[in-house]
Amino acid sequence: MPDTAEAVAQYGSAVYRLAYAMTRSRSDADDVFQEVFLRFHRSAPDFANEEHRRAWLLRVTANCARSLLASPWRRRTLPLEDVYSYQDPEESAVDQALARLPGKYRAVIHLFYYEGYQTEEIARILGRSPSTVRAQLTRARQKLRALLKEDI
Amino acid sequence: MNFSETYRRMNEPVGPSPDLIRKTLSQPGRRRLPLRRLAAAAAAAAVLLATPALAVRSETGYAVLYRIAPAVAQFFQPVQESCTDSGVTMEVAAVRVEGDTAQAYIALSGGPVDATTDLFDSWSFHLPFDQVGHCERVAWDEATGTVTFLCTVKTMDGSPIPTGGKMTFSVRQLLTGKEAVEGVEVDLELADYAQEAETAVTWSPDLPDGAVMEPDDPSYFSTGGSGDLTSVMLQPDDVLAEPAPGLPVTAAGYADGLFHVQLCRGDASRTDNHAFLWLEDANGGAFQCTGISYFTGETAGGRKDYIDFVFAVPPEELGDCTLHGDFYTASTLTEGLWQVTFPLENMD
Repeated sequence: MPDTAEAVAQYGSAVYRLAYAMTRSRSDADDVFQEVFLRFHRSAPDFANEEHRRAWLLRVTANCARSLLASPWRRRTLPLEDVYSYQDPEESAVDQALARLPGKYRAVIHLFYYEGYQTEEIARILGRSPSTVRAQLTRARQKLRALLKEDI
Repeated sequence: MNFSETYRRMNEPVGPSPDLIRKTLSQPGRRRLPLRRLAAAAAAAAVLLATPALAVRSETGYAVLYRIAPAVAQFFQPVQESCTDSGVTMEVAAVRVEGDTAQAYIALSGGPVDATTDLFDSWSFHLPFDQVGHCERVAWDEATGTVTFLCTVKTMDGSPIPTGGKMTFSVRQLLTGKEAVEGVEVDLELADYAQEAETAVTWSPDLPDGAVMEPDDPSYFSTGGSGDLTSVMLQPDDVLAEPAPGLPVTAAGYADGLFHVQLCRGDASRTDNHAFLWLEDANGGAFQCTGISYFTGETAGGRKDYIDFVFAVPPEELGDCTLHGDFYTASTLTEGLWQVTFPLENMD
């Protein structure tokens, strides 16, 4: 059996952050988090190295979050305590701008700016072509730029 | 604002709660679906079981169902091993399943289909399990005008392909009439461009401090590149030369001490026209570019994509050089929906 506890300790935060970045809901991120490590536990995949394990977990996270976002029963209105709040005006502005992006753009933004992946690596994790990822990154930045201009 | 730093700071407090970790690890194999999802799944299943035909006859219904429950969606998806749209027919030629791998040979014929047919990254697999896969062109039959693609999928966890499942393969775009013109000299007298050239206003992919885009600005965006990247783009001008149809040279000259040659690719999302340029001196020695930068912009004529090739060659040496390149173009983009569904079992 895989060492799920060790995987949670090592990559739990990365999985949760990507899940939250995509769903923008703590309860949805909780669901995705549990689903990802459930799949990890059940499928017990073999990994060539640590980077492979990390990429696998992030890929499954993105797939689970994408499924959740597409679910017709997903709650569209979230209670306040379901989101992280930011006191700093700059962080609050970015948070509100991100909330207005589609989940697929937020995934690309998160993997690029937080996880530090290059577009080719993001493409492999998200199962999209590199050109699609580059286009989505460019469009996400354009939208953010326009939104932040309104808010700053 | 430094977006990168702000975003990183914002993510620091985000993480799983100790309670969530405890719950996840306490019964890792027995997690229950949230009630709202169970209720919705039950309702969806009831509708589907009562009226399965409805679910499979609607493409939207299938797409929605696939997202909710891939295995159920594939169960109800009828076998359809041939499909015709826009004069192009897609057929399943053969299927092979072995261990964790399934392979399908998919044939396309009719309409604009030719030996160069490219699925233009518009294909997708639908399967009832997590998988990784790819698709490649493997054969062209001149006599029947049929091009064959090989689709290969592997289960993500290395387990055997489940028996009784079905695979759906879909394509939405076909790129045809692809041509390659390689190693040709571009008809451009470089000595005429050994001076500073006008540059365009561009927006880099990074969010610079305080940068905002004005609605009236020319909207050229840097979309990356390779080598020594620069966000400097020459202002596109008239066609200076056209070494291949659909790939005109639209600017040439110096910016920041570097020599730029610009190619316009048209709307790259519809043709994928691309090229590689280099300089040759009088002795035939080649100067490779130090960087390639890609830009895109909206003009009155629609989307236009550009490549700036950048060379570190002094102006006084430019007159001794000639410009050469490899050019790759496509003539036709055909859009439609070609979709086949077949059992995951060996078929000759």
